[in-house]
Amino acid sequence: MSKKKKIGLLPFAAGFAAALVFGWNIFPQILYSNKGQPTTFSHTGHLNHTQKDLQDLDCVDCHYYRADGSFAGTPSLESCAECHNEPLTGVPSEQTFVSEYVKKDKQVPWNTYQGQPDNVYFSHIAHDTYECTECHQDMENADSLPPYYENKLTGYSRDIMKMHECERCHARENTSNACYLCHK
Amino acid sequence: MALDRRGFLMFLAGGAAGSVLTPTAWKLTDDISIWTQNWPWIPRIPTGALDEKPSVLKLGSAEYGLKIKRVNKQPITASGNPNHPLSLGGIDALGAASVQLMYSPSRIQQPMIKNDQGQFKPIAWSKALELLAGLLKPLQGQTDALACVSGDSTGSSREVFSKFLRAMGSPHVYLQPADGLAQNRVWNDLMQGQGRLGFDLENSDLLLVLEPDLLDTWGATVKNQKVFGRGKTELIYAGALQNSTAAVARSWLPIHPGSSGHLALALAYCLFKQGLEPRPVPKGFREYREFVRTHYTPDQAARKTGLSAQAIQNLAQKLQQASRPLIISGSTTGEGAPGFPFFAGLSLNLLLKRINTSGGITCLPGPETVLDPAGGPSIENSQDFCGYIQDCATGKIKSPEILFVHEANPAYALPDTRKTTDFFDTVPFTVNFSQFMDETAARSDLLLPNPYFLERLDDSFTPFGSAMNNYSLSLPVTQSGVDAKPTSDLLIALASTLDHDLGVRSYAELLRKKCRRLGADWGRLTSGETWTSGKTLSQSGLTLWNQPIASMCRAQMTGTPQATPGLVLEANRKTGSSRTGLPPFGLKAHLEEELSGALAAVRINRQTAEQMNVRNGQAVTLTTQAGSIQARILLDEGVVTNTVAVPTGFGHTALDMFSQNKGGNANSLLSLSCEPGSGLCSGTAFEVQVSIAS
Repeated sequence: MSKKKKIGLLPFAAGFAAALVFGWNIFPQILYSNKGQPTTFSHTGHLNHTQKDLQDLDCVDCHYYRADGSFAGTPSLESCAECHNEPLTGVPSEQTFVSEYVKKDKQVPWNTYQGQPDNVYFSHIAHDTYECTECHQDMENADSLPPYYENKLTGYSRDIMKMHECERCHARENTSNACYLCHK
Repeated sequence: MALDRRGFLMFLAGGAAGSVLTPTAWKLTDDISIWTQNWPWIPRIPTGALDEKPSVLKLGSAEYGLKIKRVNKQPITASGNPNHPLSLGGIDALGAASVQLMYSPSRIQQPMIKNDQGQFKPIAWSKALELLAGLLKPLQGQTDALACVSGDSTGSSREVFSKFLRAMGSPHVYLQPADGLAQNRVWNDLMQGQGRLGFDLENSDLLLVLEPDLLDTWGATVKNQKVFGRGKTELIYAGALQNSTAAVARSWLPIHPGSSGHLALALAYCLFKQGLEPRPVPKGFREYREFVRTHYTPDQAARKTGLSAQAIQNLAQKLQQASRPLIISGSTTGEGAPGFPFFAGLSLNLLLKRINTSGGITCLPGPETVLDPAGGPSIENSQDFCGYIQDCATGKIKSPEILFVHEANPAYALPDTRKTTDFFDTVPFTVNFSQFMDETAARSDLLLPNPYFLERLDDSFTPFGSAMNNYSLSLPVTQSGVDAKPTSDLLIALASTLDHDLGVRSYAELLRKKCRRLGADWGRLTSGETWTSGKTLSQSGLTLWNQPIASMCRAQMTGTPQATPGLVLEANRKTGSSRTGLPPFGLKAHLEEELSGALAAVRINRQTAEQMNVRNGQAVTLTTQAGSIQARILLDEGVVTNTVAVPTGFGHTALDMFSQNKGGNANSLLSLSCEPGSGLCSGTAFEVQVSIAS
């Protein structure tokens, strides 16, 4: 009888702890797969260019608004090929990039960390007054691209901005949270 | 320390309590809800740089300018080009689906050859051309050994075909039958008119449409709709059924099917009564007037048309009071008719002095020919393909050894399907340049796919119905997604293999030369602009009566109209063209009762249903001398009594799964007959029997 009392809450505690470990550590590993990116890219390498005429490269040279106001997002192959039509450095990844994509005229299938699904309309230019880093990771000082985690069930990126995050910010900024604002 | 039942339950309880403090349950619930909405067949919206490229619709229907919206150079949607004179920003059901059709599952993916078991197998382009050159070589100089049918009446490819066949010694280049071809033949061959006919709808104040569906399948339909939309032109429709045009016309005059020619001559009778006489007097006017006076008295006219004598009289009065009336005649489907209704309509325009005048008929110079300006008759004046089949069937002409089929689906679209397929069975080798695996392609021996119109450079010279000559380029907006080669370039190369020089090294060179000859600016054309010319040909020697016209008109005097249930075919662009089959978006365009299961609806009115002892929704078999189809009855008061309205565009046995086995092919109900005098061959069906399907 006394023996039973001794282990009374232990199974509960063990189950509780196991659930926490599973929920916070194991479950995300099961749910997401690390897909990475098709090729490497160094933001710092481009922003701190040693070549003189490229020293004033800026974020907006690649991540720009098109004439119609839409956001170009990840640069197209044509943009990359403006400089990298031929390998410029001895870096092997650059040579692979040129041979695999530029020479084959094949767009790089970049994985977009925060690409919204088709049923969401999002305009970058409407949010232009905010710093990019308020929503995106700070890539200015990143030498490599962060891992891209894809949700195995939904196919969405792990880092996608969820609706409640949009709503919270809109509420804070006293902006409408009407459905039609994002769901056209 | 063993885990007993109580301990196990506590472990589970602890696990459940712990789970609440993790994202597992909430995240799974959220993700599963998203997962259930993201099936692989749901199309994704492409993202990227947006742009628009001009092109011209070339799918065997009305041709007009398009703007193709692209994302990352991939076409995603089409809209009307506001700067194109035949679009003015408008679009029809086929144009709206033109981008999606590019991805049709029935696209021919590569050159293919039929093996002994009747199955298509891929073949390399080089081998296919070698094989074709080998087959053609011994046929050189044989007049009847090679023939070609094309469905492209506006492109310069017909010049290439014409020149190629002439180099081979064959005159047998034909166009698929169409109202434009028939109308121009009546004008040029019977009435001795010059040029091609144009119709100045926008400047007319009264449009009398005698049977064709002006707003859906006749001529430049998109432009026609724009003209109608301005509301400045009064539209009167005479026909056996309430189609898209009749539904919006100021008035619909219900007449017996196929009696529009009689109505036109009955109106001429009334105009003569009111003392109308054309100046200058056309040749044969007195004989024409005598014929009209003899055969179109009010009682005779009422019997022939089904309209009361008073209604005809009122209509004639309206025509005379209008300052710029225009009479449009044609077939209900736009796919050709006997010459009589065209002649009757044109004669009425002539009597009303509506030739080469604002709001009337314009006589336009024919297209500039680049390859062989002096060589042979132009393709549009030659016999149509129906006549050729008839001549082959009667042994007047020897069936060809090799048949080229270009941008046409005659095995489906021609009247008298049985006779057409019999003809194809007699041809030892058929080469098809289609983009789609249609009925004719399926019967062919060698498939050499032409790129889709959005994937190739082509041109369009004055589609039928335009008021003035116009020329525009159909520009490629994307690379071909299949292994296709432009047919015209292929023929130029093939000719070279056979030691013939067609006069150009590429199709692009031909188009540039044509552009120069017209005095158009290539740069402006390639940016989507259209060359137009208001030049018309003055007419002298117009004839209202001669031996062929007399034969044609007298042949119409036999038979009693409407003695038995009549058949009228109705076409609608939402069923696509014969080449494309049912286009995407049909689900939204078709009413539920129009197509139910495998049966399409045929329309009859309540009185006819009572006479036939059938009821609404009943499955029936329609039988004519030529064939039979299954259909479902749809009661509709928009059809005249004793008439069955059968939709075209259904009943495909090839193409994709969206077109196959949907309804019956209305063309199979028509018999092929050639008209005395005009020599025009077309489909006719005077009698149809309706029986309840077993």
